[in-house]
Amino acid sequence: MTHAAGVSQQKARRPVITVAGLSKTYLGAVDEAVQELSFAVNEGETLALLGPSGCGKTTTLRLLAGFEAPDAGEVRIRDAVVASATAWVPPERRGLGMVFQQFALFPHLTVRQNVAYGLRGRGRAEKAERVREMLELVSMTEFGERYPHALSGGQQQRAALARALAPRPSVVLMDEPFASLDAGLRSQTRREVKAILTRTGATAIMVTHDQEEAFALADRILVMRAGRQEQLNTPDNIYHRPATRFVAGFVGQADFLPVEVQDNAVVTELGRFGYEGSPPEGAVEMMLRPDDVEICDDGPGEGVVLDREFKRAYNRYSLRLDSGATVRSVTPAMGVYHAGDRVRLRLRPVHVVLFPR
Amino acid sequence: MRMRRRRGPFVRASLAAPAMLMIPAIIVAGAVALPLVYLALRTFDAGGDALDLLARWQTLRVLGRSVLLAAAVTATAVAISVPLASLTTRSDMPGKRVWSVLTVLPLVVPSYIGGFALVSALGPKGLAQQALEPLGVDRLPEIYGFPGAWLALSLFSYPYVLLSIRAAMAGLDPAQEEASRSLGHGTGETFLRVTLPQLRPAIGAGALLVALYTLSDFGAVSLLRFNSFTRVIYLQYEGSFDRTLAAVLALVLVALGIALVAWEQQLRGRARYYSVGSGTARRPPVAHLGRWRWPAFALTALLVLVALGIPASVLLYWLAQGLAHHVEIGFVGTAAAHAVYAAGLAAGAAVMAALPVAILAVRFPRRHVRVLEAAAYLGFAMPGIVVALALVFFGANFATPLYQTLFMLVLAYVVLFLPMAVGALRASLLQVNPAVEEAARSLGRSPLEVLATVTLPLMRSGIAVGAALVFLTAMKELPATLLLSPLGFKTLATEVWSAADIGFFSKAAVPALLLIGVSLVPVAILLWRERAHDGRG
Repeated sequence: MTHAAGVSQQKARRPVITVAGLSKTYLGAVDEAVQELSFAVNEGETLALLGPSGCGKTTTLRLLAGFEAPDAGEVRIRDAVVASATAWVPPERRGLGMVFQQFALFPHLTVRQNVAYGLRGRGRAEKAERVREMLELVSMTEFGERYPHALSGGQQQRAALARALAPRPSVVLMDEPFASLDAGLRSQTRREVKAILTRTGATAIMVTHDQEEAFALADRILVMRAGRQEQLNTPDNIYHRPATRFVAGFVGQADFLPVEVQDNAVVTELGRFGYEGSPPEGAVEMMLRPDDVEICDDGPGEGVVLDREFKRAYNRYSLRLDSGATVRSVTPAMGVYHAGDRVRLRLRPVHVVLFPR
Repeated sequence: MRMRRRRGPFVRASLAAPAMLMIPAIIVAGAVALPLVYLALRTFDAGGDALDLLARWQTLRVLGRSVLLAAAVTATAVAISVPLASLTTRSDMPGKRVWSVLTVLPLVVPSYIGGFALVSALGPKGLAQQALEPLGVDRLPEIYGFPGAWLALSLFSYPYVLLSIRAAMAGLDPAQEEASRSLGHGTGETFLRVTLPQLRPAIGAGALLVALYTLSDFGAVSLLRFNSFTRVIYLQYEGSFDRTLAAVLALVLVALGIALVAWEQQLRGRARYYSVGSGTARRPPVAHLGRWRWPAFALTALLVLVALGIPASVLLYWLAQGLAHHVEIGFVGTAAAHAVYAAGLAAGAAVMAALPVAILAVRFPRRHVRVLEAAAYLGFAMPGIVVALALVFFGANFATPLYQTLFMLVLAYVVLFLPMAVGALRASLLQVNPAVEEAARSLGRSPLEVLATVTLPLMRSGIAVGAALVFLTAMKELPATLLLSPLGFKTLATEVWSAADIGFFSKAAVPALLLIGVSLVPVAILLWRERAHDGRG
């Protein structure tokens, strides 16, 4: 684990894909599908493009793959410009692998033939060896002669990944790779894919609308909204230090408590916290995750329990403060409080995150 | 990674319809539009004369007659088909399953064979009269003219409406009818207020087919001597030096066809289509006919007896006569070989012509592509006689080396039957997920290689269906074959026609039976598919 982290740190200096000022409006559409997107993906890294449906994340992936042409901006793979106002490299010469949402396996070819499809121009023995290697990598050795329709969803997913990785692409692009699997299969397949990507050291960009998926797989997450980049950071920072109110709400539960900032401190109705940095102008609110709010077991205080949601390992309470604001709190399922109970609350925010009100 | 430099903005470059497809599609559209454009130019050249011809009493009478015939045949086909569709799919009529096949079978009788069967059976000194003579009947009602043409075309084209309605019925949700019943409406009222309105697009589509079939029919109206457009055009073409009138009439006929298609589209409006593909969860309820069971049976039997019994018995009678009198049938082999050869070329050419059009239509549905696609469907509204006539003029005046060659005949077949090929290819391409093609691109294959290794293999069945449809239809095509065949190139269809035209029925019987055999194939496939669809759930 530490070793793998060390490797990716070391490689982190070499971007494989660089995107600058990428914009795209579909013919006949008014709104831009993608606006002024800029980011870079480093060797061995997995980047997740995360956002609600229609935010432009799939368009971004298709622009990288070369299935769409941008209106402005530039896509660079290593040192070569593959799309810009003056250059265009068609998808078959970009050397990227792609895993499609419904996997898009060739229905008229067997799994083996599917995996071999991208290995054109190699010797017969080399090709057979690479196919064998890939099938082994995705644990599909015994399914090589099957046709796609005779595979389960998870097997199709792994075959599609083997097909995309076989020609050793510089980056593998994955479009909602788990969306067409049923929930039970999803987390298991996710772990398998993560392991395969780590083992091969592949650089990957995945598109997802599922924050859990992004957090589980990605080294960094790019949150998008309405074609624009909201934030690009590690999963931890995305969760704990969201750059915008939208990111705060999209990647987890967030409540907002009106506060005042007074000389390096934030004053809330639940106490004071040290704050460094420059707060937003004017009236501000502080973001609270349910795990930032703790219910203390020592008698009545400033919150009234509105309701309790039983989540098996813990309880989630909605609480109304005296000021009228509501916050949520997750508490281990030991003591149980009931609607109307008055409780004392304590805030333990990991980071103080403020937004203009 | 090699780079391709582009001049100018590259914005839509990667996604604009590729020239590789656009150029062949434009050539195809041009070839299909050629007959129409040529007729228009020729009419325009004639200038004021053309207007005079158009306004002539004779022209207007021909127009009136054709419209009247088309209206009468269409109305009859709808009137037969609506009750027949319900009876053969959703009632307890005795022998329902057998009738559901037999009522579709008249479709296998080409109109010129049906026409000859009616003349031979019901004409003066025909088989019916001979049979009735001992009973003192020496005159049957006149078969020539409107009654015969109406009867022949109605009997052999109504299955288009029937099939269309049955397909729509299979897609209806029985729960809607049950809802109507639960809201207090009886069977009849439910049919009128819930079922029938939903069948309207299907009835319209079927009626359009019948109306176009009638307008473009040449064989039946000629043999039954009804002067509708096609026959007058042919007589003009055969009998006069100035062929401008033929061109003008042909143009009016095409305009009528296009107007019909447009009208049907308009009527359909934004009405949502029934979902044929999805099928229904349950079998629809069976209507109990009660005391109407046997009358329904008798009427259906009568229809089948006339529409199938007459052609079958006439052809078998003349076959027996021919065999008894040792009528020469050696010509049939050559005619069959010619027909197979020409139809085979047509099938290959039509599929190749359809491919770029179908790919563009499905993958690049832009406005200018729509225009190309519409042009490809032009053959749908163009009668064979019109296409043939235009190509004869064109060949004689501008393409003399091609005049009287097989090329012109195959071109006419492609123009006429391209819609079938495009339809079949389009349907199969719609089943191919574009992501599969993108996957092949991302694995390093050029667009042409993707077409060869992924798209075409996945379209196999559509290509086969399209080629088979064109082949079987071209085999029995009459007017274009008659006008465009090279000298001495006789096919089964032209042999039937020339023998029947001079009343040599025993010579026509063998090729006619062969052609009916050929027509059985697509109808059998159609019925088999309908049954497979029906069998679900």
